[in-house]
Amino acid sequence: MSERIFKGRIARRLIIYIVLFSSLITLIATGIQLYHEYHQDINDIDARFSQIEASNLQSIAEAVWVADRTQLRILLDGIRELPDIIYAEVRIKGEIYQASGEVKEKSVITRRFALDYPYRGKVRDIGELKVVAGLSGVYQRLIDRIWIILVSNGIKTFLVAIFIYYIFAKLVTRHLTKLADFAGGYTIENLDKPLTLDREVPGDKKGDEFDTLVTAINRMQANLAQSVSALQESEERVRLLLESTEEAIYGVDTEGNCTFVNPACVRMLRYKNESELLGKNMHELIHHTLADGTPYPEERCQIRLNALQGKSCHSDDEVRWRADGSSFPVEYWSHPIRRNGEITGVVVTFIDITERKLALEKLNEQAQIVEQVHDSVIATDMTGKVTIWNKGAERLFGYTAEEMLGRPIESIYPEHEHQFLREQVIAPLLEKGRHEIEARKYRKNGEMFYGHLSMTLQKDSQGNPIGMIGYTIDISERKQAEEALRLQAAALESAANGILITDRDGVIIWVNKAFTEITGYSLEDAIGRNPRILKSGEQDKEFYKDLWDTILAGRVWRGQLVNCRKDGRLYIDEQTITSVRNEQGEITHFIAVKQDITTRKQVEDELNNYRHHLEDLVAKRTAALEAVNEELESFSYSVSHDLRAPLRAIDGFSLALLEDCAGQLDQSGRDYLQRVRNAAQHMAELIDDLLMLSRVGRGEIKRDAVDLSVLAETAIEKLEQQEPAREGVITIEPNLVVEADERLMRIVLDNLLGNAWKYTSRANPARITFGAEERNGQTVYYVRDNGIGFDMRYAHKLFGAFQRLHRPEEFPGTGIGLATVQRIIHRHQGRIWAQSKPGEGSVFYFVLPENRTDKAPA
Amino acid sequence: MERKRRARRIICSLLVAVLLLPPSFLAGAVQAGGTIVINSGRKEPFCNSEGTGFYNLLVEEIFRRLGMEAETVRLPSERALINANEGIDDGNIARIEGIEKKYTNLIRVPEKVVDFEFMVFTGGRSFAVTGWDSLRPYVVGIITGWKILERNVTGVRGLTKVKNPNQLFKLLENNRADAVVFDRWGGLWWIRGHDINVRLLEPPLAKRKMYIYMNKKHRDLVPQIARALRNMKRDGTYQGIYDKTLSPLLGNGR
Repeated sequence: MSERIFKGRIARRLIIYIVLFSSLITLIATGIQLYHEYHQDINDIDARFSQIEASNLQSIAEAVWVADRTQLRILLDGIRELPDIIYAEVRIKGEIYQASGEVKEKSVITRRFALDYPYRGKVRDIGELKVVAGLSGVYQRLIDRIWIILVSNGIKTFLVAIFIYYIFAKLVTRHLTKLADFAGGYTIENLDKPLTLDREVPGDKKGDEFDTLVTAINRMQANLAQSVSALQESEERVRLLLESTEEAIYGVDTEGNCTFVNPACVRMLRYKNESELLGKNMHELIHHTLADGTPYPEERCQIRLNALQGKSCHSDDEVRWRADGSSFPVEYWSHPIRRNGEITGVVVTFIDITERKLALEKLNEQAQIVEQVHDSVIATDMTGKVTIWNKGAERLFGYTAEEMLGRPIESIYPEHEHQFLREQVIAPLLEKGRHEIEARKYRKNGEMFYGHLSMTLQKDSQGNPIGMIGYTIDISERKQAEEALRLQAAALESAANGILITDRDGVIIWVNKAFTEITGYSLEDAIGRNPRILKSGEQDKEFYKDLWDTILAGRVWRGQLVNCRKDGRLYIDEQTITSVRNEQGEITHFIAVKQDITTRKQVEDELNNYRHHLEDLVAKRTAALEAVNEELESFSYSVSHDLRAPLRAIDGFSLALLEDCAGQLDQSGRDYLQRVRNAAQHMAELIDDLLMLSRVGRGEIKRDAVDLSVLAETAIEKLEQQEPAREGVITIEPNLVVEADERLMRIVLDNLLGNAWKYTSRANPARITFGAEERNGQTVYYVRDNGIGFDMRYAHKLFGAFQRLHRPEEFPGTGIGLATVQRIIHRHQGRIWAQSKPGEGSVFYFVLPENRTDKAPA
Repeated sequence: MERKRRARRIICSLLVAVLLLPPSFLAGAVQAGGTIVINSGRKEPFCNSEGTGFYNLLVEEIFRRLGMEAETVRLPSERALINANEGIDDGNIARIEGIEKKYTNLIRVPEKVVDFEFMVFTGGRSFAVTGWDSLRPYVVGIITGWKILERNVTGVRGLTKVKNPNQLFKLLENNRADAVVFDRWGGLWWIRGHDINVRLLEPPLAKRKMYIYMNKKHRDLVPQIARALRNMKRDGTYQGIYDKTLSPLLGNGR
């Protein structure tokens, strides 16, 4: 069999390769040779053309010159006799003149020669010789040569192949046969028999490739024997390992069928022996359903899917099913088995993690609790890196768990607190194992707060510290409350009034320093006793009953009573007693604030005496003043009234003179008289105004609801009647109603609007507004104009009698109007003022007492 | 003043005269710068290298009369026609009428130069020449390619075609032919140079008028040449040249 293989196939292949290669070389060499010979033939033809050119061209030219066609024909025939030349012709002027032969072939080489002839000193072009060489002869010669070369090479190749075949069979093939026989009979049992070849040792004793091969095979055999021995030992170790381990291990082939299983696996799955598992589909047997009861088909099995991709797989959230139908949680590892790069199966290792799962659940529960605790729970490892950061910590410090886990706990403290943290927090904890401290803490937004930190050192089973757990609650409010209480206590303690606190039953529980100073009882004297110790007997039972009724009803009692000091001296005690209630509204304490007013009482008495005396004095003085005022009023009235009669006489007679005796008077006389009249009329106006001023200061104010808007409209109508030609924009806010004396308010508006009318005579158009606005809760009435205005530097003169800011020539008037207005407003307990700028108009504001005014609904 | 006026009149007259001259005159004037080359396929006595042949002298005189120099060159017969036709030479002397059909660049000068006469020569024998049939009883030799002979010399006792005059007359000398047919002046020239007994029989078997042909680039010269030739015939110049070059040969061939 093996002999046939080597003698047949290798030798035959060798022969085929030799023949093929030899033939290829022959073909290439033949090709090159033929190509060379073809070129040689072509060169020969070229040489022939050159020969024709050298030998025949002259003769042909001469024959053409003498037009000797016969001679020409002979010459052309001669050319055609040359090898491969098949055609020759002479053309004159493009037309065939003489030709020899014919062109039947397609493959030809054509050469043309110009025919020149010297004639009369010039070389004349007299025609063209065309010679055609056929290549068919060349090709035929090549074909003949191909046959010769191929046949000779074929014979040569055949003989060489036979020879090589013989040599190869003798030198190689028979030894290969021996090698094949040796390899075919190879078993573990005969690994000790070496290979020897049936051949003479080469003369040079260095050995050839076969000797090297035999040595290598024998060495390989020795190595193999060693490896087999090692493998057997290894298998024994693996078997022991599989049998001794507590981890379940099994292997499956690519179909998922069990190929091996260790005793731990059989035990864990509660089978009787391994034969119940071997050859069975392990997925269907132990892995068919998920923990929640849903079917788990093999197509989705992660072990299988990963193995198909050549990947390992690990999981601890699956279950395996026992022979008795129960399941248990496992952690497993699977690794693909590869042989020669191909996956041939999977080995799966698993352990029962029932207990671990239970422990983990418990841990999770605890972790949940920690997480849900309202206050901050933080754990760190021994390097200070955060390992637990619960919701409470997130709320308290403002950092999320994602931000803090793995970060040093120091990072949430400002740098100046780090030393405190190390020395006052960490060091005592490491020393004692537990530590509590109230300290400043900082939120993420930089806000500081006080926290109560309870810390515990976490230790492993050997007692080595493995971490720190801190429990923090925010005590800022408590701290603030404590601070507030401290402040309040200090305030009470340092208050100037004596303070006494009793319980509901009136037992003193605290008194302040001022109390001890007022009463002479020290704190110790007072505490536990009743305020009755201060009783002087000056007040009767009714007084105290009223007091108790008031404070037990929860009301504040204020009053004065005469009490007795510790040394027996009496003093006047002004007290305020307040009850204190608890959250249920029950009275739990009473607080009495006391003041010794003995001295003040004495001063007050004296002051009262003085006041009574002063009031008497004022009443007397006022009565005298009113009498004088009365006299003054009647004097001014009578003077004014009495002055009017002579004035009327002066004006009347002056008018009579002007009317009756005008003809007897010259122009100067009439002018003087007119001046007398003007002066008398002006004085009459002055007297009228003085009377008015006098009148408004007297008499009672009759308050009534007065519509100022109507009064204003009336005043404007009067002014318009006096100067119907005037144009202006008059705006009067309606329904401005006040409680005032209508007669006096009419004078006020007549004057203010009259002034506005007068001082806007040059404005075009004049704008006069009467209205009201709210200022600081008061209604302010105003009259605004766009007249000539005035300089505010003279505003203080504005309301004085006979004070005028403009010359009479510019604007007539007596200078008493605004004095009258101010007096009326003052009589109503009101206020008046003005604002102005020269050239920009003026505003006169007045206010009447608010409770007496009203703005009627629109 | 008077002299100036006369000079002006002369200049104007010359100018008018020049303008009125025929273009051919101008052409001739132009040609006068170079030599006119007239070739010929004939040898002695018509053409020789010394320039003393009939055609040599005739051509020289014709063109002298036109105010030009001219030269006659001897070429192989067909080459002469080719050169004249292609303009290598200016013209050819002398050819029968009708060759312009084949050599289309040639224009015939319509004035006969000479007659080409096909004559019978014998080795001493005499017979009456009455036409082509009078050759019938004899062995006749002709030169290959003479179409008129190949066409008309038929039905004779024997016909031998040879390549050249030498072979032709050798036939007579060696008694291989009774008669040969050749042209008059060629035959007489050959006889003059050889000491043999050859007899020329009159009259000619056929006669063809021979003309000068000019390349068409000399189209304008053609009438002038004809006129000059005619004038030469009229004034005896032609006869003088004839007598000088051809007539002396008449003593031979009897």
